[in-house]
Amino acid sequence: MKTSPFIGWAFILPAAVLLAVYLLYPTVLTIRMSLDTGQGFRLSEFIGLRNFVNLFTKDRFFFDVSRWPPRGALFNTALWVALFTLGTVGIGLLVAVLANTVRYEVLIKTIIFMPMAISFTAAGIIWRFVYSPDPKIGVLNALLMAFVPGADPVPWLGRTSLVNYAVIFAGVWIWTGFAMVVLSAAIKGLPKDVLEAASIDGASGWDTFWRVMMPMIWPTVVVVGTTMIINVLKAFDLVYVMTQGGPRGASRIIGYTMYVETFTNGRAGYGSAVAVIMLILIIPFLIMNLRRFRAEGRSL
Amino acid sequence: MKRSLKTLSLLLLGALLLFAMGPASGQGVRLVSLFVTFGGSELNALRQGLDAFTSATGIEVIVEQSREIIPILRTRVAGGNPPDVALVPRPGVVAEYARLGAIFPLVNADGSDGIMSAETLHANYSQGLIDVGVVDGVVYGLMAKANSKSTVWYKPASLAALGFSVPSTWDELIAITNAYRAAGKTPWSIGGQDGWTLTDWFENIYVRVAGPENYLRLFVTHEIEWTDPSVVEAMNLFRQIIRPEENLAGGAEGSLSRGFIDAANLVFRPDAGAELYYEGGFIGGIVSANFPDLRPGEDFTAFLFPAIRPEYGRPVVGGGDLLVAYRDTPEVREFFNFVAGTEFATIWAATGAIVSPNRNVDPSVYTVLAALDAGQVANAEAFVFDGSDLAPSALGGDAMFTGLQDFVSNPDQLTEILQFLEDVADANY
Repeated sequence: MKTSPFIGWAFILPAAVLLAVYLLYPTVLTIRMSLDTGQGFRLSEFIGLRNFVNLFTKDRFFFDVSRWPPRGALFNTALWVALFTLGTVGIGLLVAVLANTVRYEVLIKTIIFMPMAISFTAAGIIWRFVYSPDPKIGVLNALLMAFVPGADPVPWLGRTSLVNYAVIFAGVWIWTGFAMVVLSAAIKGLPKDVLEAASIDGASGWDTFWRVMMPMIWPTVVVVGTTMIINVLKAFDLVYVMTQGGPRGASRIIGYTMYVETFTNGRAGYGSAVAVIMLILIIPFLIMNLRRFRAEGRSL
Repeated sequence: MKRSLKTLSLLLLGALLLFAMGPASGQGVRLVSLFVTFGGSELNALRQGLDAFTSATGIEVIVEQSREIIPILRTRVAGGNPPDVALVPRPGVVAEYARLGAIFPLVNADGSDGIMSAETLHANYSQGLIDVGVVDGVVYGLMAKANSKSTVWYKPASLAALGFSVPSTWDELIAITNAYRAAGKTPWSIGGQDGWTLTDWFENIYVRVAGPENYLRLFVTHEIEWTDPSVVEAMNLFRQIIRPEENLAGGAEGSLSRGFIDAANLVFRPDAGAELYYEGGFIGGIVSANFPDLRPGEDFTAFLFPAIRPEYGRPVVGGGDLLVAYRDTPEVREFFNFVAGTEFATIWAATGAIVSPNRNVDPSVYTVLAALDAGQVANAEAFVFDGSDLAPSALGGDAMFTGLQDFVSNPDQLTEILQFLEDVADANY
């Protein structure tokens, strides 16, 4: 029986309408807004690419290449992408592989997964206490004072050279559990006979991991990695709670800049320009993830 | 199953209908919704005044509170759902809304009544304090509470032991700073993690170097540029406080990683880490709450920020909250007239939480600490509003905070810092 082609369209119509209203329209409006001053959250004065030009030439909180190393939200986000992704995927993988062989696997994994159960705001506040420069409050400085006699407390969040690493570490603490669980599931799903064959053929643990296990779980690693990268590119909450982008704007990331410019400073056009840059940065990773999904779909 | 689904959907439909009819069915209840930034004991103090309003007029006040008032108001105004009235802490934001047409004139440019009675306003407020809420000749904001930000907090016993009395000039202040350092004590505590504590420092110095008129030209109209010699001079005076770094508890880095409350505690706790602390009048309440054993006015108190140039004397830099009207309803009109009156101001002031800019409030209602603050506001040779709140938010928030934090950690970069501020100002006026 031949069905009308309209039936197919009718089926996707509801989804298409929802996507158009809730995704397409805001995206187009944001792009248009980024070419405007956006006074009062309305399109008020078309100014072409001026927001973008200002972002890259006048806004040293966003993009500052006048000093080495370069600074600004864009570079901080790059640092987040590198360290946060390596940290969560790396540590997650390490724990997933090592815990796979010990008796207390459940206990270890539960502890590492636990932070995922806390809201990011709460986690941010917890870490603000941990990093407090007052050793009576901050456990990190209390430990430092206890083990290194005569040491001065370190203002982890108050020093521009440390603050990004401190916040990224808190982020890794939260998200490692997620990476670990997904990777661990992939490892558990590996066919036993292949691993047994490897050990019968005399492969060392190291070789088994790199030459047998890794190639087989690589697709999962890539998916977890890109998910983490997308996570980082749109990150906001930890910086907002822990540092408000400070000290001296040193811990700003693009998500935070977007918020501050749009809502605190009331420059919706400028904030939208940041959002558009964020969108452009995320697109390649979205495409990567989509390709991966499609490839898996075909192999099924 | 099917039956219960039907009942459920009927219930839902009913609820929706009720919701849609809400305002109409609520006829007879007169309401004003108010949005404020402060909470806790400050909000409870305000409620005492609001209760008096409700019993006088029968109008209920619904209070919403958030420290993030500016972002929330922006989204609600844009979404067409603003509160009736709001207490906005930044005159710069009031000007922004006035020019967007989002708020209503309280008193028109020709002096006729807008939302409120011009007569009530002029009877209770001095022109200097009315001017804070004026945008392009029209009164848009009513200054409902005020506080001095020209108070330098100190411990009388410690100053006497050093052999000094309260300084009235900048040179004396620097002499005290040096004497403390020579005596092996740390003179100053700064809470520079909160960038606004540094802008407050700068404003007090600047208004004393350049005078109130130039102060407004720098912050409000940007007729004076940030690279102007007067700004350089003010910054170099501030440098005498922050350098050598031994002047500051924890040096520059320690000063920038400490919030304003911790910085106050550092001076007044038993094993004190510094002797002097500059921040606004509200510090008195914080210190009394944190150290109940200290006697206000005796163990700790404040002096007026000393004069720099004799011709400009000692103007008071102050902060405050401006009441603005997002809607024009009879209830809102009654609310403004009540808030501007002396009864409301006296009740609120008597709680000790605020200093009222209303000149008809009897000074005897204040506590020792509030009287100190109120005295500075009422007796001010000149009153200028906190400059970083007058400037457009991008400059007065962010940029000034980070620029001055940069200055504390690296004062040799003054030229670059001022150029940066000028660039931001250039893009925002």
